[in-house]
Amino acid sequence: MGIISAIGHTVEDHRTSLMASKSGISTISNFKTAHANSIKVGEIKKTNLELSKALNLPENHNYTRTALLGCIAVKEALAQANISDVFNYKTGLISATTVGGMDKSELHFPDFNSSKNAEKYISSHHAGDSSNKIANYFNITEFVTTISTACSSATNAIMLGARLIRSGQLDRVIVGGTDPLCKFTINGFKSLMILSDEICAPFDANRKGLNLGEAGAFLILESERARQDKPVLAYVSGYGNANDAFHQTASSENGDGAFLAMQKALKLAKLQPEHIDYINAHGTATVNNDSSESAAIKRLFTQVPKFSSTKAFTGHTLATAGAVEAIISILAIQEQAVFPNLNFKNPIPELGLIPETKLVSAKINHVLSNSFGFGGNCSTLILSKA
Amino acid sequence: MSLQLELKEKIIELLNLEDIAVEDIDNSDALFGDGLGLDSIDALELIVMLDKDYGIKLTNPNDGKAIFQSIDVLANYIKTHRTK
Amino acid sequence: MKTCYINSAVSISTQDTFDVEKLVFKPLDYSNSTVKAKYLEFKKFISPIALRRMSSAVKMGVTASQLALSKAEIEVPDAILTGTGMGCIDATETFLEAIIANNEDYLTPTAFIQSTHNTVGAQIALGLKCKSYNNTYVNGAVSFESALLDAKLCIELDEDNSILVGGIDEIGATFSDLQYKNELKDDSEIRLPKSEGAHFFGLSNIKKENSICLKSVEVLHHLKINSIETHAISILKKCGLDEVDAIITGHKNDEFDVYYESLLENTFQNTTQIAYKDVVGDYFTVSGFAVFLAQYMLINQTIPEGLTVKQNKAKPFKTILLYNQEQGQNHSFILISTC
Repeated sequence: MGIISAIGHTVEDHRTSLMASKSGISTISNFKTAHANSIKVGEIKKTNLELSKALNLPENHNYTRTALLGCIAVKEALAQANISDVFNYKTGLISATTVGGMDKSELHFPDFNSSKNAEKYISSHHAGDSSNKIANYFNITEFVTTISTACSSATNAIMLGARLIRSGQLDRVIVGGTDPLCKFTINGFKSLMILSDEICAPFDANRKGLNLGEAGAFLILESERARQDKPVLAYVSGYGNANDAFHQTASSENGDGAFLAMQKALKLAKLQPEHIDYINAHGTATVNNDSSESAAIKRLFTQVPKFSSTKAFTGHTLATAGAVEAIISILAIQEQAVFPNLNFKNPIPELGLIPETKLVSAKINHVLSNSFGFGGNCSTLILSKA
Repeated sequence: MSLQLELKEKIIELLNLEDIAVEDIDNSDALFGDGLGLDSIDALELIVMLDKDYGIKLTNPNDGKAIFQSIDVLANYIKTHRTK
Repeated sequence: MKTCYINSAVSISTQDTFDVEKLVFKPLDYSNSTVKAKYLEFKKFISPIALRRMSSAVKMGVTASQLALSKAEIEVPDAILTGTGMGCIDATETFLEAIIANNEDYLTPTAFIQSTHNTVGAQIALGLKCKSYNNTYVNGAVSFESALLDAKLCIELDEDNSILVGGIDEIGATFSDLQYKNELKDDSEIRLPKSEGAHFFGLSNIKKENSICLKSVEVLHHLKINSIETHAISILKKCGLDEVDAIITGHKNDEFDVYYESLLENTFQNTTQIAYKDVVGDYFTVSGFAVFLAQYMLINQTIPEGLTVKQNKAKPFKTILLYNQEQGQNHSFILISTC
């Protein structure tokens, strides 16, 4: 696993922050926006120049922040999995992003035609560019693709990776996502009136909306054959994807899509709801998501297991959220602990669900992690103890 | 032009209601749900219109529900609260 | 393992390709940097209340998907998988311009919502009230192929029985033109205009009257130019073939055509060779058109008029190989046959 987000630049940083209940939400400082004082974000306090240096890139490169964050995370993941040669087994890459090269496009849109410095970012605009850059940086020559289903993207990347290994198409696949903060998404969510000016409070009765975040997060899936004698961090035991088919941005009141995605994942994992020890919820802290997700959880689980949303740590990292939270879920299995749902005070009256608000030890064999996005895209992953 | 008519023209243009004419909207017709069939995204468009054209700022999208009931209700609200 | 059949193929392109009996292609207009697709009367297919917010990508995608489903006799599919290179670029540009013009003030959400890459797949699901598997791939020239490969695996692994697969790209006001000019600077040859279109297919594990077989889909990020031919031969071998009856390539009349030439110069030098981008223009998911073309050839046993054809041999078409690449990377091979 490899990850960079607002709560740290490595997996170990994340473990430390999560165990210490330390949020990474702050005021934006890497770039100027009119909304700087009216929103809180999960920003990585590293400039593009610092990230480029860490990757030893030449000065005139055209890596967007999306590609930079992705490379940093993949670098750590390859090192942790002890992979120095990507050619000894058929290795693929499936990345997820919503903004693609937008962080550079929004800067240069007015002068693409006139400035030499801007021109090099025309070809980096499309969503596949960051994945191509990551693949080229690490010499990945086999299957490379990118998924963009809004905020469920990275979960779908993990799903496809698992399917490619199951079918024998690949022996090893690097799966995850990368999304930087940019004005495009800040203004988009602002126009939907769902950004909070405080640190977000998932599942709280008085939640005011979400905090956007940024992250690069990748996991390496390997077949038994490619794994050899390496230790297994966790198993992808189930996955499910369903569509709410209700509204372009809003989730249905009873959370049909979420319910179906969780149900499918359990079925594939051959598990019953009572086998789930911890739910890492999508929990964005918007009025709509949290009530819809709560309703779906209550429908599926007669006894709701321990659950929390970790969005108040990292912010909502959009396409990357599914990979960030898959890593957090694996850390929960390793630590045998449920990470807290920060800032929760009062349950939503009509639903009454109460998340874990403090770090608690628990026996965790199976974690269910949810990620939902615009367009009704709902995806669920089940990660199990090795 | 009456404020009602002005609002109808704005709504048709803003929300791309190509097949609907000003005459098709009654002053007391429901704009959302069973009436004109507008949804939550349209409500957000109308909130920005209130701010931009009449200097009325709504911070909670839920407040829109009461204000956007019909053209008449909306016009009355604007008359009382407009700052420009 | 189950067999994956393509039971319908629908195209909206710069040519008259939507629901026509006989394909005849006219020369493409090279005088501008972009050429729009032939738009249909979308009102016939989509309700006005839904239509009012849709960009051309969504209109084309929703319309093409409807016909693909009805031709394949699928009411509601078990999965909707789409690919798009540039996504909903028109709405993206609209929102970006609004941010810049209004200094981040007075922004409305419609264009932002529409700019999301999965808008087409999501709108199709919403229209059909289809709650099943839904995914969107966005990796340049292999966006459509990624969706096709995923669909093939889902059918073969018996995860799903019927799948709607499509590729969509639209022209926006700015980026298509920028891309065209950007590529033009690389060499001075006359370039293909940028264009747009939607290609949708109904896939299933059940063979129908007009079914063809999807034998193989391979996507490779990088491939050395001198190993393209051996790679193609290895794909044929895996499918128990020594040769194919036709090869459809993504020739673009640029310096990267050497990749196609390298495939065609030895073993396949006498095989029927067809190029298509010169009649439908260039965009990331134009390779969907090649699958549509191959399906037409296998069913009608003829090559449509107006295409660039080499080594045209009079023999029945049973197997067709498709090869495409994007500036020397994102290679894809698709093998299709009669059943």
